[in-house]
Amino acid sequence: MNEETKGGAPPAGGEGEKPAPRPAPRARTGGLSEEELTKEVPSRVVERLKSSFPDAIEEVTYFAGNPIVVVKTDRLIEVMSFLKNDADLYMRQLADLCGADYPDRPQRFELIYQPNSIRHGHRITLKIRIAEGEEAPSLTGVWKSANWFEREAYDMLGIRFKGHPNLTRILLSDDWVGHPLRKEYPTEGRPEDHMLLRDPGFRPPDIMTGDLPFKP
Amino acid sequence: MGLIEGRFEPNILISTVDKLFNWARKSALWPMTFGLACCAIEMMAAGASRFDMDRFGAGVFRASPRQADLMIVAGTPTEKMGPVIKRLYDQMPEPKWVISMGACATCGGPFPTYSTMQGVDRIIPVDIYIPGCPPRPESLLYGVLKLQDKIDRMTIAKRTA
Amino acid sequence: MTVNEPASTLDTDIMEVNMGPQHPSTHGVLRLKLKIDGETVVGCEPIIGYLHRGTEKLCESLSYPMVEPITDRLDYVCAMSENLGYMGAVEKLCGISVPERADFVRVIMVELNRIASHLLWLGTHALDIGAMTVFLYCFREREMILDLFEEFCGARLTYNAFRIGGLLEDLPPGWTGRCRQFLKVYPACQKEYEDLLTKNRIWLKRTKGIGVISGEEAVEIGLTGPSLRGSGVGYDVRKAHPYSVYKRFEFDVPTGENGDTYDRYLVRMEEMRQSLRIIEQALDTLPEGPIRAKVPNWLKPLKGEVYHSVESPRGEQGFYIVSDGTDKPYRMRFRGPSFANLQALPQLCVGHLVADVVALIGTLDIVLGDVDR
Repeated sequence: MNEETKGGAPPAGGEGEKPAPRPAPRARTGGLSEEELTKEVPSRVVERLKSSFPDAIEEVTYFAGNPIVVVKTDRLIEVMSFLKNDADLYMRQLADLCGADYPDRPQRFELIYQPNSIRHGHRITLKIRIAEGEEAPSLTGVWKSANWFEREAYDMLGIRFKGHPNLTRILLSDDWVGHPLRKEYPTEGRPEDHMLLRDPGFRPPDIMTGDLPFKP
Repeated sequence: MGLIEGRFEPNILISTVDKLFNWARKSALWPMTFGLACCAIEMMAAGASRFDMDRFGAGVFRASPRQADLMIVAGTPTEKMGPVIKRLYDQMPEPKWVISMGACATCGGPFPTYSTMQGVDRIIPVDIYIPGCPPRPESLLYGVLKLQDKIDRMTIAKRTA
Repeated sequence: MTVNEPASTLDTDIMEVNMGPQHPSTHGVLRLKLKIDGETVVGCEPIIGYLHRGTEKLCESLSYPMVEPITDRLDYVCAMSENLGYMGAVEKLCGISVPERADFVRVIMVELNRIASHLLWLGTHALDIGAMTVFLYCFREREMILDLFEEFCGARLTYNAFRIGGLLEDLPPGWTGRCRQFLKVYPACQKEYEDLLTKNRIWLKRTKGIGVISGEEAVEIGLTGPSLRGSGVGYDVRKAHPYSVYKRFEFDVPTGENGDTYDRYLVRMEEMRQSLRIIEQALDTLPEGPIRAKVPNWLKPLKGEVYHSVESPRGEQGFYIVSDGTDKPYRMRFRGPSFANLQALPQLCVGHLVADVVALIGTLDIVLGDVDR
């Protein structure tokens, strides 16, 4: 993998003067431009959602031809049941459910749902945003498959789900401390070392430089 | 270990007994089926038709640790699996040997993460390390041959010095 | 085996039996907590995570090209599918289009890997149920495929063969001829397995009517891949959301009728034949040309997120990548088909005998690296 690891960071702007606000940071991909990637695409699901739940939708964006809909947390179950049972959409399968951590935002966690319609071939990405300490509504009543996915989100990110029948750790052992996919959790180190998390001066280590807050 | 081990000075009788014991031990290494991850597939391949580990007397994979005398740690040992590995090792009868197969079992491999144990030798003693991610079946066979060499040098005599 | 009637004349206690994590038939480090009444399973709770390696967290500190070897080790039985899925996701994120020849070679590799994966499944599934010979036969043919891979990329199991935007190396000279040779030899071999199993009375007894799940339920619980198609739902990501160049090839999506272990077996056997068809078409129409698009070495995608899924031999393998505009993914999520499929195990097990649990783990075709990640 030599040819990939060469290269290095893009050259910094001129010294002394502050770099002028550049038009849009040019992504180094060699692929499509930002306009082409974030272009709106017609989607039957978004249309139906907009007409049925105009007040539940917070935001609709598009990326690479896939609509991403952010819905209000308290309306999630309603929207999901609609997606599942509406004859025109009929999204009978929840392909994936995962969480993501954005510590800088006021609503720290995002839960990302990927419902999937086998009959019509629709796909959509649905999201809710919740703050730390807030409970997310559990989808186990709508899809049985949400059970393990939610347990994993709890295990990895510490998001609690209201109404989940068995919200326990699934991948890590029961006595584990912390939730690994949170951004402040270090990638390396043994569980006992993670007690360091309580230290306010803690900063996440970079495994590439070997800058670790503890002796390995 | 046994009743007679470590009780006699090294002499001509002992070396003959050693020869017999070691010949028997190395010719019938019974490994335990202990596949953890990717390397387990190569371990299976080593036991299957083309590579045929039976040629070296090490192809009788036993499901129970009590019938096995070789533990091939094939795959990534994790913190959650650690206690299980330790218990299985303790359940094996003496004399017993451990082969650490692949980079993960040797040093954590490509996973320097919170849940991966950085080498199985943190919890159990290892006789042979096999590099590779995963090692080819030939490497495993070579590891088994090396272990047989090692067994050949064992003695039941009292250790001098 | 038929479902046992609860013993009415004798008092029985419900007993808890622990199966795994070190058990020869759990295909890795799966642990099951079985509740049994005599020989009948009345409850089953899979306990997973014994192979949790923290890959999702690890990927957040690796640059995009460096993630590829990690994807190899997720589902180590079909690493090519994982590579293709990850490459597809990154290419979607960046909007890179791949040269045609690279796409064709990728499809050939993935389909060969599908056959190899199904062979491994068939061998171990049969071994679990008690047929030793099939195991040896399957590994014989699997080695032929691995030889082809080895010639192409030098590895037997973890290939790391694709690159973002195409391939690292073109096919070696003479490779297509040897691949055709394999295509010629293989159908006769598959007939051998089918002669051994399909009409075998023991095989029928152990698989027919075991682990029945209806199509509606299977969709609901998140089954994908052959396990879902065995229940008569013809959902295949290759057909439903065509990626790479699958649109150009003709192939059928085999489905079962009864949704039992036997039907899932038939579906996988048929899938191998369909894979042969795809490889044959791809070899016939393999275009000449470049094998890699112009992609910068230090890839920095735009801010955005994509979900891309491919059909791995086990089902829908999804990759969800969040990019924050830097050279490392902000969040990397692997949607393992085995994880979702394993969730159906308690439902399948209940009411069957303990001996059938082994057959049911086999029929879901789980890979623990994919379950625990």
